[in-house]
Amino acid sequence: MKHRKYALVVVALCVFMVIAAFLPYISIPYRVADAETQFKQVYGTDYTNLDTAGMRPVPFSIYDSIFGIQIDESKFSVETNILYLNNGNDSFFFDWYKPAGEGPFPVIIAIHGGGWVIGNKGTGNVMPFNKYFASKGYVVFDLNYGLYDIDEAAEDMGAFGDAFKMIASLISPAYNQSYTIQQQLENIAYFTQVLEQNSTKYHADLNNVFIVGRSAGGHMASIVTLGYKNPLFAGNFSATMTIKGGIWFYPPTNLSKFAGAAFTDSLLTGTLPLAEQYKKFSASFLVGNSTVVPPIIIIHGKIDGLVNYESQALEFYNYATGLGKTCLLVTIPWGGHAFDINFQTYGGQMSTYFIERFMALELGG
Amino acid sequence: MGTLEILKSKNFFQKYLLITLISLVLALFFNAMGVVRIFLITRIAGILAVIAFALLLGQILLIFAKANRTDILGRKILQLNYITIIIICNCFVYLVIAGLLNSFYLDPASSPIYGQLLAMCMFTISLCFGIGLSLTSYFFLSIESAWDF
Repeated sequence: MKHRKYALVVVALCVFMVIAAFLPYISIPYRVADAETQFKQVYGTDYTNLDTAGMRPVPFSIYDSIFGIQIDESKFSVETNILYLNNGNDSFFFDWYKPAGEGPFPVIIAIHGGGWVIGNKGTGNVMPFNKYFASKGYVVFDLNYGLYDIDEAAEDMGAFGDAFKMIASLISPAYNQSYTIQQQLENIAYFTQVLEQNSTKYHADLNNVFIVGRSAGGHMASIVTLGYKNPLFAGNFSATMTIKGGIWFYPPTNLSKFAGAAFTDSLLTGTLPLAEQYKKFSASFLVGNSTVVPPIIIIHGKIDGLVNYESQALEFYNYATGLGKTCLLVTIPWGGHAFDINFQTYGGQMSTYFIERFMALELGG
Repeated sequence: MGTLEILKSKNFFQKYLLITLISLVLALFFNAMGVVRIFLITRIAGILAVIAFALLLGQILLIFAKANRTDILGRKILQLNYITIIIICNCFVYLVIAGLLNSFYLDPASSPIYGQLLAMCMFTISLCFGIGLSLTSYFFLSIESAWDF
């Protein structure tokens, strides 16, 4: 009798776990419908009449979540570790995902995340995403950039400090110098100048550039998207590049609302007083301050424990759309931070589905 | 209560085993066919996989409730039930690992083929054990002492 009770408890627990595992999947149709509504509002018939042949046919496929998203590897090649900057202390590289053919191809500049203190291109920046879009005819540049010294930052990072230090030793490049956010952005901006000088060599169509970033990389992408024509960043970026869209995965859009003031204070040290630096490096300020605001798509997990969904994504979305800017927010149900690290999960699939439509629409269908 | 009694009947159990068996076999077939990546086939394969595993879960619970622990054959069926659970749990862990392998292969120029191969193997193994359990239970259903109806 006692054993039967235990068995019942175990069975009840198992059933509960199975149901809990399926809960996110129940929310997917609702979130997909929400994103579809936004696309229809922004693009109208262009969206409904969009030629989606060759794109992912559905936002979520169970088959793909088991066996992986199909990527046609014959349609692109990859060249790794191409030097784009040596500042005397450190060298910075990028990986070039080149579609088959001569191009020029629309450009994706992919910026990795890692809290401005860790991370790397390649394995650290969702390679299947880069490969998928290279196979669809986008030339992808996955680059690394300077990082803030993890030993200095760990003290201010609280509970995350030790975990970040451990990850840093595994994936981050060993830099000799510590880089503030301003210097990190200057690295990325310099890459756009290098790209401008070598656009023919890299088959890059600089009239059609998309900036993709995740987490801290999403923050960097937001500053590039909104700042590349802003006088605050005059002289930093390529003058001929036209950004067609910003694709920001779980980005901090307002650094003053970001947890850990001591941490961000030291990261934001720069040429302006600290309060001004906070503004200069927050998308929530730049969106109202820049004359050129390319269309933006934000993809954010609803239960992100690191970059809060409500205060960073939803508030920005409401503010930007209130200003009349083109901004889309794709909410990933039950999605935490870095939900797309495992690319074939529903978060990775949903985001890919909407991003490829967003880019196609911005490129004129 | 009348409904519950029907659920506990041998007739219902037999039909349930048969439906589970058919859905598991179909899931195996369509998921293998899915390699060609035809949208309709992958769509059917995905739906069948969910249905088959949900039915298999119910079948495992039914066998726990209905296998006769005092009979040697009943105990063997229960053992197979436990083995199936362990195999499926392990396969699901490896499926998650396969997903991560697909995302984290070391070199951008390399292919994620190993992750996909691992996923295919683990998925097939778990379906095969489910089919084995259904088949065994179905064919031994006529031996009354093995069951507690």
